[in-house]
Amino acid sequence: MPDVLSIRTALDKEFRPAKGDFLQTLMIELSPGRGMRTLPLNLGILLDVSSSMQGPKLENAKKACILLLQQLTSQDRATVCTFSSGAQTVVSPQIFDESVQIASCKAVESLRCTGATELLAGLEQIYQEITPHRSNEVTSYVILLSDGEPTDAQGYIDDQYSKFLDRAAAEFTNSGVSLSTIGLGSAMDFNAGFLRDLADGASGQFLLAAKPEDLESTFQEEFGRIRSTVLSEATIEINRLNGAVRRFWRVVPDKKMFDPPKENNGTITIPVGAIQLDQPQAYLADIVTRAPDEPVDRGLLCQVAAITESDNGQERSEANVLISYSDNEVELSQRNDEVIRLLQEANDYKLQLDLESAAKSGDRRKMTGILERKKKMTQRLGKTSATKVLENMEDTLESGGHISPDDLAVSSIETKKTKRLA
Amino acid sequence: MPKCPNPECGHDNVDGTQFCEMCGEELETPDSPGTSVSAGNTVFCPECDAANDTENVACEACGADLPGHGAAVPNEEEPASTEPDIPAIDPAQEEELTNAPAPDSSPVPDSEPDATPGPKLEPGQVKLSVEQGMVTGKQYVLGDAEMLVGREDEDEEIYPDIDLDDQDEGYVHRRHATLKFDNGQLTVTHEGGANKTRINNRPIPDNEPKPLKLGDKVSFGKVVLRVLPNA
Repeated sequence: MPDVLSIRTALDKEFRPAKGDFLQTLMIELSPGRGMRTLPLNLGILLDVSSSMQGPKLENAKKACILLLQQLTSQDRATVCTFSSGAQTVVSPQIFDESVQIASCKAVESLRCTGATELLAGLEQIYQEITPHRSNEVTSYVILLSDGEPTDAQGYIDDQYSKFLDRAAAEFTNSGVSLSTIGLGSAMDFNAGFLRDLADGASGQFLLAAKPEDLESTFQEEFGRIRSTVLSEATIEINRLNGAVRRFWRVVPDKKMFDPPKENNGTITIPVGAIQLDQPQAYLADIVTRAPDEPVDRGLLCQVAAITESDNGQERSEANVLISYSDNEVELSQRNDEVIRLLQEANDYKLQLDLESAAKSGDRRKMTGILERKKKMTQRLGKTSATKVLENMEDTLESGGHISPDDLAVSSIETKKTKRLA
Repeated sequence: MPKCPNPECGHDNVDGTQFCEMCGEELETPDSPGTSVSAGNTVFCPECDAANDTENVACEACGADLPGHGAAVPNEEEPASTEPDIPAIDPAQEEELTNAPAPDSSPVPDSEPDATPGPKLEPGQVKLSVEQGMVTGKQYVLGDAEMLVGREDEDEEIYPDIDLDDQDEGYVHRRHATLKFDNGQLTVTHEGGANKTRINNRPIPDNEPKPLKLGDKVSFGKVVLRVLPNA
């Protein structure tokens, strides 16, 4: 019987010197079994109905929301909540038969805008509705739409972002509920980096809808992805590691930088969220490997396992990663092109994060240096659109201007995508 | 222990590190020992260093010819005539094909007269064959006096005669270029947009018809097509 989730590993450098510490990058690829059944949905839609959403924004948000509700089947459960000054449930969580569908669409149609952007209240509300219905046999996802910075109940911007990030990450870690975020309008109004990090921490995606008319297609894009989920939760486990993991990234289908993983009783456990139909995921671990105590040609670097839980129990696929030791220059110079390319993609993403940080601090010299390195990288990766955005930024800086949040947001989205050669 | 070459960083990295852990500066370039310029499925552009699939004939980033694909003309070593779906080029046109402009990134001159006018080209006698795109080998016969090249958009009611929607990932504009037969000459006009139309890798200016000859390589976005006689 084929594996539910198969695992493939590769090192950027098969050989390492026999002495001293050495950095090697391990690629871990998880691939779902072919033709697996997609899971029913446990979907939450969380809409910003603050006063800034008035007009075409709200009207298009309603249309987009209704578009998704109309595609739900009697296998799916969904809830719709809104937030402004406080939060409320518009459609309570229920299985979507025809009568529920009609009533739900009517409820969404009647939404009005007013008040502040109390996002934390919104998150609490939707998690309260959706979490009791989660299980390994359904896909639990929240799609959040917002056009502005989060505020408190009085409308003052609440930039203590860590509490939002922690809340969403905790819900994912503890209950397996993922969160995708959609920023609407100009990134001058919402903080694109914050919405991206919010989604990253909860194993979701960040999407940008520059115009209200783009909302339907943006909602549909994310809904299609969520709808194709075949495994609700997967975990990577690394055991018997002969070294230390310094950094851990997701690089396929898009990029995410994880907090440095911690070892617990000799095991590193990394929850990686849902797996979509026929969509492999690839991760990179930067590992400082140790020299062997005695001269040997080969040794075990680590054991890697991909684990999924279902009502039938735990499914586990394992792979041993071997490391070869050599003093031969030719062997030591061998590189795995596939891993090197993904490493370049990961470095490109790191440069994006550095650029955002430099832009926030206003350090123009730093921004110029990062832009130069990042442009070189995007050119090498053949990312034409991303390079153009960076050139715009360079021109802006050269002419004494400031990098716009919109350019940064577009660059972030372009950088998130991984261009994988066939 | 490799030291970061970035003067503002200088971080000491662990041996084996590819990119500086602190600033992302590359510690090992593609030309350094140990990293192949062309290996596996990747080939690096000699002009801009962008990574391309080995099947690409031109760089996706800058349009330059890629190693192993530079020859624009079918020859004995690489005869196009052996391709079952691409007929041989008439020997009479071969000299002209050999004189196809060398790859260059400078724009096609605005008012340069065609020094070696080729045979008269009329609708139905010419076709474009995809050399780089999602469906390599697909052919488009130029059957009308004027044809729009672009990407279909039902909402905007744009239906190009040559729809390249299925050939790349959205780099072709909806109204990308116009091909026109006029007095026995075929011209291409870039209709605007950031992703340029190129003839033999040279970007052409907007809204100015530029002549196309048999054997020329014309690119729209990332799609590269060869102008061939329609036998």
